[in-house]
Amino acid sequence: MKETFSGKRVLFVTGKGGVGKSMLSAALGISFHRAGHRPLLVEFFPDRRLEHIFKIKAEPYQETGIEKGFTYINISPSDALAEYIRRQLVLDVISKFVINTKFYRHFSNTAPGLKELVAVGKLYDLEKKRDDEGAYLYDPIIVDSPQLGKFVPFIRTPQSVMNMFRIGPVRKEAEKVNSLILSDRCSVVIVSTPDEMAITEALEAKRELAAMSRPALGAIIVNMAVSGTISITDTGYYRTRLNTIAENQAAQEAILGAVEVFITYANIEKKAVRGLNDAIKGIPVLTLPFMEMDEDELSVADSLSFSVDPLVTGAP
Amino acid sequence: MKEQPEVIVCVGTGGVGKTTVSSAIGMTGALGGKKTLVMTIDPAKRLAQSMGIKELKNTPTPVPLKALQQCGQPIRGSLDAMILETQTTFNNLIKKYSSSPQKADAILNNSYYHYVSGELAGSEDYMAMEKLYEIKKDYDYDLIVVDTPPARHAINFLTAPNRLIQLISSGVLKWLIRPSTSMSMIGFNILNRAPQKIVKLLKSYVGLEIVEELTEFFSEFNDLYSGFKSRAKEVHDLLASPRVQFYMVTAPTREAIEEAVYFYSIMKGYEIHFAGFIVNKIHPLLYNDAGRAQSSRIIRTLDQDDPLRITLEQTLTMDSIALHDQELIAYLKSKVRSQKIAYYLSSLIMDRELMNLCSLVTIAQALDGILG
Repeated sequence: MKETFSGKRVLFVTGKGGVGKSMLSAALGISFHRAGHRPLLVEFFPDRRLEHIFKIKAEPYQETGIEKGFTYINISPSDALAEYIRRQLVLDVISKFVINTKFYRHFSNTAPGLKELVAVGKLYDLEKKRDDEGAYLYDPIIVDSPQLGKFVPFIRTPQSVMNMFRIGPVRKEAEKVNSLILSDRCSVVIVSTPDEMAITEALEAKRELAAMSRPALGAIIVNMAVSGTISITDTGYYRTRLNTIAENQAAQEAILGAVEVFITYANIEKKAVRGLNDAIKGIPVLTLPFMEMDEDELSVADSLSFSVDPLVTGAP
Repeated sequence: MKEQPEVIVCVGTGGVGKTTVSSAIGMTGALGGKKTLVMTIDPAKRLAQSMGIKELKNTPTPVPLKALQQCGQPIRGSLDAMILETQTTFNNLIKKYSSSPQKADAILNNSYYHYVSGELAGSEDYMAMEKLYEIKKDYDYDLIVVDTPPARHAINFLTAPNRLIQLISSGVLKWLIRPSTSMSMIGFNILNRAPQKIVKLLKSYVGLEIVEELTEFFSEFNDLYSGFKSRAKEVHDLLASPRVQFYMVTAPTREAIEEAVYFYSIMKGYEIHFAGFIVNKIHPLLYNDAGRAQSSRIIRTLDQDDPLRITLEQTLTMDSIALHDQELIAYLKSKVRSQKIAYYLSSLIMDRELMNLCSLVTIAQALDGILG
């Protein structure tokens, strides 16, 4: 597998609800960091999943170090809008006045798309940041994005705003943000589970993205697969083997029963993943193992990070 | 005595299988001889396909239950399905409450309307309720099952009608319509003689259009205010009636269970009839204690790369996930009053197979005891 994300500055991680989107964003971050990159993990307020996984306390809207060269930010739309207004009004005193008025609060809640636009717009600023040597400060930016169904409207926010504003500063802001999102510096990662429903939704999303042409789909990760490790799906094999090892008949039947349920899962799953592979050409599909749910989410993210290494380093 | 519900509302966070559970509840109604309707918000067409319908519309479409003969189910009732389209429902409301067709058109053609009607906080939730109210009035279903929009916090669904009304009646709209008279009410008095300057600044830097277009939009919209308000009250009264029962659909993940506990704790503040929890996506236990011990013992005697060992290790992993599910369910039980017992549905296998009407029946049969 070659480096799937080589040259990509922003990775949007999305997927159906409950598939482990945040966990995979965390795993990708850890993997990039281990490979010598300086990743930035982004999530949007009020979500705080990543904060929880990394056991950090971050001020909203403040870039917070997870480790050296590994950063986190929680973007809250209200803070993003306040920053935008501050920048536009230049004079801090006036902007403080404006932001503290009731009018502003009502306005910011009603003005269509503005908050969402500036929240996505924050990515544009973060992407531009450089260190003292002129290298990118964050590379790449990994965005734990809204779930499928809300994802395409999310990345189309600048476009929707542009449709409403033909001229003016908001239009300019939207164009600027759009130029990043619809560039080949961005890539989308869809997280799925190996069941037919989730895979169908992932394929629908793939079609929607293809219709937009950019950002391109970079990879599909099939999470929580039990079938990855099973090589023999013939129950006869297990019966024969157990016959010679199990202590007694009852034990043999009990274990065989468990193996049969497991094989049923594995077969259904294999079929679904095969369907996905057939429908997807030229896009890497990475299947990740079903993991024991540890109370310690960071250790789960850590182990998963090794599984996503092939996408990051290009190693087989 | 427990009253037979005429409406069942399924709430829950995303990813717990709410749409599938709602459809299965609808199926229990149809199997029990009721004239049933399922209203879903599922954006994917997958559910419609599973029921043998090409595409769901904003009006009830019959589900071809003939297919059920192949899974040996006698058909006693009927099942219709429809999808909730926020936009269409909103459009119809505008038409209904506008004083004239011209006024309705002014709103429907406003460049912000389409954006606002789709994105306005809570409009999706509210329109679901609005449609329910309309269907309840215009049709004679014995049972209507409502699949609510996925919300990070399920409670959003209950607060949506009020939030929408509050927004419509909020000060900013009054200001936008009559800036000269009401400006002091909403905070500009502190700036006293300078407000126009600030507004001018804001206008020029955020964009003049936005304020002007919004003014036009909301002054038209204001017209509808009283109609919306009384309608919201009727919708609210329907939701509070004992004929409407709420189920919380959840799944055995830490996040989903915490959300369910949270929902339960604040639900009491609302006049709704909560019927119970449905815990979906539970993994089946693969072993009893003895079998588990035996399996572990055998693993220790085998080589690392023995296919039997690898498979047995996987069965134990899966089994431990099932045990973890049970812990989470026990936790949920400990947090809710005894009469609001948590109900479980083990459907992982169903979930992973190709969904069709027969698989919906299987889930429905598992649910039947719960709803009975």
